[in-house]
Amino acid sequence: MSYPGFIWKNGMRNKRRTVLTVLSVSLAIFVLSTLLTLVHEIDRNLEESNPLRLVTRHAVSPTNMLPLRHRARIEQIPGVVAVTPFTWFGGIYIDEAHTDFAQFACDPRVLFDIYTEIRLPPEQRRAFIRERTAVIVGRRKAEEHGWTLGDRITLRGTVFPVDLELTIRGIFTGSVNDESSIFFHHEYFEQALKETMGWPAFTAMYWLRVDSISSVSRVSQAIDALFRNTDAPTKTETERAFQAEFFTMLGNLKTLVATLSGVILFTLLLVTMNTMAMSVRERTREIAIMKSLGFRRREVLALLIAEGLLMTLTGGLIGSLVARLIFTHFALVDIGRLTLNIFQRFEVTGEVIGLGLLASALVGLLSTVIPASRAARLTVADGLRHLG
Amino acid sequence: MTQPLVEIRNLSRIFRRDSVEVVALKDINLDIPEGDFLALMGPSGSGKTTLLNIIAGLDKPTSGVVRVGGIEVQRMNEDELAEWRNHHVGFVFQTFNLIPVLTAFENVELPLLLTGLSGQERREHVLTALKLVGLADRVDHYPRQLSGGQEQRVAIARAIVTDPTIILADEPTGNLDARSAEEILTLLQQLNEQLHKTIILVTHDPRAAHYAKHERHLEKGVLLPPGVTYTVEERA
Repeated sequence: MSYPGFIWKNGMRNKRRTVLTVLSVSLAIFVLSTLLTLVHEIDRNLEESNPLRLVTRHAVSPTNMLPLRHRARIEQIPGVVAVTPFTWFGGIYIDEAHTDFAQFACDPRVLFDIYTEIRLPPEQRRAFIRERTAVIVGRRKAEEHGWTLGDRITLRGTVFPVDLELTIRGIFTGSVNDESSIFFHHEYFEQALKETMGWPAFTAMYWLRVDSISSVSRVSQAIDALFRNTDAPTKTETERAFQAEFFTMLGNLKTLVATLSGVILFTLLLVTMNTMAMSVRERTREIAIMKSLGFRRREVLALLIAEGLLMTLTGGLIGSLVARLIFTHFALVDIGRLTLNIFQRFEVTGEVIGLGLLASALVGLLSTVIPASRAARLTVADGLRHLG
Repeated sequence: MTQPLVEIRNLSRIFRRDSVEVVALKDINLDIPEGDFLALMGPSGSGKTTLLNIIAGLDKPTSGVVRVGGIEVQRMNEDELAEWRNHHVGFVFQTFNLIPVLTAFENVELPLLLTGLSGQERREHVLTALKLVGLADRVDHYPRQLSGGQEQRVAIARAIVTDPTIILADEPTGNLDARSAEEILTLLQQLNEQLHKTIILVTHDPRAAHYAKHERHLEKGVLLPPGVTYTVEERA
């Protein structure tokens, strides 16, 4: 028999209790891993934003539209490389289950000057620019939906009361929401709205690229100053700031996640502490026997803490690995659809697994140290008198 | 004259509970030579177990000195005592006190985990001890699969596996039927006679005491002179 063997046998003396505790830890660490991944994905989205890209929207709210006439005036500001009207369409493709990608109307002639990371073969780029009803789709979504060049897709409008018939003329690689978005002509979108509803042309936002980091602040201020006293004042900010603000619109997610994580860990600590307290109390007499055989206080303490750690780390490992299998490895949850295409990836990283294990180790340590210290401090004579 | 293995001088133990003082042991003087088999007898509450605990370093005297093998037990700190017990003291308890999740083999092996012996060496020691107590064929049995007498024999094997200087047995037959009790006492007698182990047996059973070489009686915390037994009324 080795020390690990002894720890294992003690841990498994009440199998039902141990299994239930391990499952509690697993579940809590699963939820914790999911929440940590959420925060990680928000950060990753923000990190992938281009520092030279700016977003101009209505000063009142992103839901207020801007007139198309702003574009020409923005283009004249020194430092601006390219500007495109940019509107999130939010239509339905076949049904909600299939609608797992973001759809944007833009100006294809300048899109690639702004999204420099997009990779598209020249002939596909030309076809996209040439044809008013053309659409380019991200490689990942093309693979998932089985789209090929020339396929026609229909987007049924929900935010805007118009349906769009589009022909796939390009499949791009590079990032842009993890190759999971689609882009089509803003002019086609404007025309469809005008023909169907008689609405005047507008855009939700302008996306632009500036020539250098030093231009970012100056151009932002210049744009907003230009439209300050108009009927459509603007707010211009970096892509990162815009996305951060967008996530803030969903609520203060990081605070929410931190609060939920704290509650989960504290509850878990109470459950595990109760289990360990019961387990140690039942063995008071045995611990006294061990001390009578020559086990020192620190050895008894170490054995009991190792037992607690074994239980919580096993639970932690199961919980975080199950999260990884569900969200990352087998992708059993359609995270795009679940988050209205805000997230296309939900990767439970090694770092998240590490944090889950660290949390379970801390719970194991904290829940065991008090009952274990008490038991280790008890004199042999007092322990032998215990009737447990 | 050779020095006795256990020397007890002017030993007293007073328990204080709130404002009440209970004198458990009063001015005890006792020498136990190496190789002796001493039965400490007395009625319940006479101080037998308290004296045994103090000899083993499980309890501290209020005053007086206990030397075992020339070492003053009460001067050692807890860690020193633990190591000393591992090397020099073997315990046998009334309720066997085996660890229920360990097999007979593993229970006997437990004190050897602290010795730094290799797995093979530990195995040899354990099998020798189990063979000595006649349980070589029960190594893989758990305590619940053994009879009371067999459990106590495993406990004795655990007590002798580290080859201790002294074996302290506290009412080892208290939970056994007459036949098992006889087997255990015979085993202790053999350990004393054949392996020259010094044994202190605490009992209130005169039949158990007959297996020892000497008897000493305690009454209300006082060690009675050799040959003097505690009163018949108390025995009843």
